[in-house]
Amino acid sequence: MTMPLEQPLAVVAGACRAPWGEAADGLPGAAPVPLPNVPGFVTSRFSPLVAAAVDDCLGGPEDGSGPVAGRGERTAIVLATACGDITTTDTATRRMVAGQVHSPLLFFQSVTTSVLGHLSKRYGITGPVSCVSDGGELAPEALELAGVVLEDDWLDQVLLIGVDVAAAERVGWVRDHLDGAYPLGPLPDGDAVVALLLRRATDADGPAQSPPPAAPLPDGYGWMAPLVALCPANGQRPTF
Amino acid sequence: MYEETREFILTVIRDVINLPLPAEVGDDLPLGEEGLGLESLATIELVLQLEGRYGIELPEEELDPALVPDLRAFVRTVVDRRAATAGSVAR
Amino acid sequence: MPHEVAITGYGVLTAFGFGADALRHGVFGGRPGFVPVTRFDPTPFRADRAATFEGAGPEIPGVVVKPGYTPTQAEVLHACTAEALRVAGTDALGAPVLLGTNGDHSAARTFWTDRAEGRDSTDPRVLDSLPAALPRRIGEDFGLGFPRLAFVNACVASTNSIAHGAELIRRGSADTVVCGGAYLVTEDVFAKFDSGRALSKEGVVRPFAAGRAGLLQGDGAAVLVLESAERARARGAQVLAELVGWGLAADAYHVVKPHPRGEGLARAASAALRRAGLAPQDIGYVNAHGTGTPLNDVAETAALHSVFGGHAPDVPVSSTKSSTGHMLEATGAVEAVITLLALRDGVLPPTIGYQEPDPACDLDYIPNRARPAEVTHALSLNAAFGGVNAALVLKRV
Repeated sequence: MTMPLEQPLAVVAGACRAPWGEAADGLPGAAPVPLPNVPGFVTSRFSPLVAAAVDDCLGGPEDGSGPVAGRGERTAIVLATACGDITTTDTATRRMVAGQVHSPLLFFQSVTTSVLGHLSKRYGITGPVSCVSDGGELAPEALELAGVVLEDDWLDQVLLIGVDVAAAERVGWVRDHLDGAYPLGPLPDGDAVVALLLRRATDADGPAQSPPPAAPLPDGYGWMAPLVALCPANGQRPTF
Repeated sequence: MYEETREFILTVIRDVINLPLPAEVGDDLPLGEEGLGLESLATIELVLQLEGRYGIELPEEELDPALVPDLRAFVRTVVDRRAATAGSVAR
Repeated sequence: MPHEVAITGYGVLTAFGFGADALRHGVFGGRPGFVPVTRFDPTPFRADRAATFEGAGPEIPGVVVKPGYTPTQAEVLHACTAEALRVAGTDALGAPVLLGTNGDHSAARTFWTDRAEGRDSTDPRVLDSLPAALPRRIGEDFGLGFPRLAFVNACVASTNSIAHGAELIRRGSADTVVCGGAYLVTEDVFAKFDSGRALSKEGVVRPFAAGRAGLLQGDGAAVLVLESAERARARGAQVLAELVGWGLAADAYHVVKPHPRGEGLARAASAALRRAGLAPQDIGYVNAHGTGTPLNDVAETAALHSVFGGHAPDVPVSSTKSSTGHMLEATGAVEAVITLLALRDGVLPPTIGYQEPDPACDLDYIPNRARPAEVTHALSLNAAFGGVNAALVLKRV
């Protein structure tokens, strides 16, 4: 029961990362395996993935001239993930099963909003923050959610993040035991993240806009491939 | 005991809690936002690590980064507790 | 022309049992729901209490709760959805399903226990350890529509699910939405909060008062049926309340601490008022986030001063978490139902355990006893780690 967005959207900035080293050769966003640390976040690559893609997309807050500068109050965040930070969750559970004490560091990072707290502070983003999960058609659902959020005239732009860490044992079990009732869409081949900054197409001044690429979607990114395909390339800013 | 404890604390902050250490870590560096960047949850982790390593119990409330003036005072509290625990075990 | 949003059904579970009368007895009756935890051994932890449903109170239809058996999120969400659809008198075929849940951790625990003991898991509930499985399951169970989304933004998750459901109705992309959320106290999540020193060792939650205590966790689940007001009228359904405002905003302040002046919470509340076309003085009751922690309650009080200005002392505010405990992903949905009952019954639920005032919390917190009041508009607030805030405004009909 979808309904067209009130206004088309434009991608004004985007970045993706497949930090798998050589295994990602030829993919958009192919990157070395190591990720920059996020202070205070441990064990899992989920939060570092999010932080790396957002910094790539927004260009870092340091020089004060990025696309969020002066628009923090009018910027929203939508984070979409098929499985969430299963590394943190499973690390904590396995420690419990082994009779070990919980780490307080795993306490706060076990929810997706914590790294967004780090990033919203870093960029001064004070608009709405939504985090959603679905196993099926998550890319179009996340784009639709971002578009609905942006129907609020008080907002200028939405930072849309798609992220999943490499499918681990528990996700593998779920995938093997699924029946038709719970379609779990294609997952990325490894840790993967994409960040897109979206505005209303009419507001997106600057270089040429173009329809989204009809090219085949990048393999390896699983459900987030349609988002990766929207990352601006060659000065084009896809609208849809 | 002071130097060894200090080294362990800095190792935990850097390698376990994942906080970048400044190039020079002076004893008068504050623990909180203006210095090492320890938050309350990170401090709890540090306390747990210290308790595990040295077999001691630490007064968590007194080690709040907002209350401890600097790294020296934090290390001293741990060293004092180690000494007291060693003493009580010896007795 | 944007569509108006009506609430036509709900189903709710708290420590006091299933349904509205359980809430009237417990929350409006000023009773704390906290009991010693029995569904796991709390000996390793600093805290030992939670507001768990142990079977004392109205039972969950189709679910037998007894010592030694803890219901699953899927079971309680199913029961709440069935009840919400029954009350609304609709089958809501094709309605999107939006649920605040972080997955069923007891299912994840089963999986890893099996692994540690060298068994392959055979428990199909392990599926529900992924958040997205729950809206999928509810959607299948009742033949509902799409999208089927789990909201995973922690303690604003179900508030966000309701706000997004309202957006879908406002813009005409759905005429009915099933939304809500669930959290049942599980050892893993309890242990995480305990390790972060976030749980009250006193076994009570005492929000907004001197000697504050908080937080403690509680079982909670609620499902609401949102409908376009035209559709509800056209089919002659009883509208229980209107959802007239919703707003979300971030603090941009800290990974876990709230902004000390509650700036994000105030922005979320102001956005909800703006959406509703209301002035602050139109609000007659606030269901606060009110976790009872030193930082939250002061920040929230500051936020309410900033939203209401000179009118702030006149607005009754209560934290019903003093009765229900903090229901994490479910808290916004359960508190929306509590707020709805306050409007319909003409009774404001109290903040219990309130003895001495705290100078930093200087509002009217409806201490200890429910208060009769005919209120037209009420505001419900929630906040989460990462400085994420959400607000709903309900209107009596």
